[in-house]
Amino acid sequence: MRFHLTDSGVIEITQMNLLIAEFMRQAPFEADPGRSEAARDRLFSSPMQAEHLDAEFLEDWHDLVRPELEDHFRSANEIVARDLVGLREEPGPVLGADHGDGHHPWFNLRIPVDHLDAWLSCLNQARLVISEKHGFSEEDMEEQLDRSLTGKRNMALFQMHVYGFLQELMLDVIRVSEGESSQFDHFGSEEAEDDDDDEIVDQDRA
Amino acid sequence: MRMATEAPQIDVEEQIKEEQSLTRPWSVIVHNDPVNLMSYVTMVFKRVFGYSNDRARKHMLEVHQLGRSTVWTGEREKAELYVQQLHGYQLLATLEPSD
Repeated sequence: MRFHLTDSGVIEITQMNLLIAEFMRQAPFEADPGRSEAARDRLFSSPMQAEHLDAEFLEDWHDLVRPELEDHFRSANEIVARDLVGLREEPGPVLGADHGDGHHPWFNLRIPVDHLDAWLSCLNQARLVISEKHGFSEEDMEEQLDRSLTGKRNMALFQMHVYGFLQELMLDVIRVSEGESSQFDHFGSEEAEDDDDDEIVDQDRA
Repeated sequence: MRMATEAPQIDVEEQIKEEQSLTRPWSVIVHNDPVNLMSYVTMVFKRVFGYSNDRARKHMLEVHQLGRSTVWTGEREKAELYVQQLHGYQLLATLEPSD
């Protein structure tokens, strides 16, 4: 996968494999807490801890602030969903001899830099919702992934890590735009065409 | 003809409590969670509070290592606004009276 900021203020994500592209496509849906009360409680957490509760303040918060937060999160997810309409497939690496003359599909996406905040929000919401739905702990988050990726839980954890990595890339764009240095060597450079710069584990090789 | 009017009942004690609540300082606390990225939390602190990279990072590390950080203290109304903004970035944030 390659991540490149063009001079025209567009982020080009290219050479995404099918799994990564599908995770991208699912992001706005994963960000929806649905019927999960735990996920909803996490996205809309209380502004006060139990020992300082102010009933009137909490009622106002519920009536006034929470609808605003819901709108804000929904709006970000809608922007991401609209950007994802532009997800394009192109021929990738050739399939092995055993698979005939076909190509692995690769996917490209262009994201305006102005939409980065929306993407960060959507991906963050998705990570939080997935975490709550599966009950992931801090230990789960820090453990090495089971590379076989069997089971829904492992796949969900991997999906969270992919979203986290995409967030890191986007945060890097923001850092660079604020005059800081990039944390990713290849970022923004057309000279870095080396395969070693790929940051994501290629699922085909996993 | 002059109409008799009743003086409004002022609960002095309630009024003092109200004034104290508004004038006493309140703190904005950010709590740790296993999902939010450290770099994301740092960015949020810079954005919401205008903190330098070093200060934002210091508070982020406090959250990460100590479980919570008092990121701002001041008037209650402003504390409420900051908590709302932090919730907008999905951080776990609360406000409480400052000690």
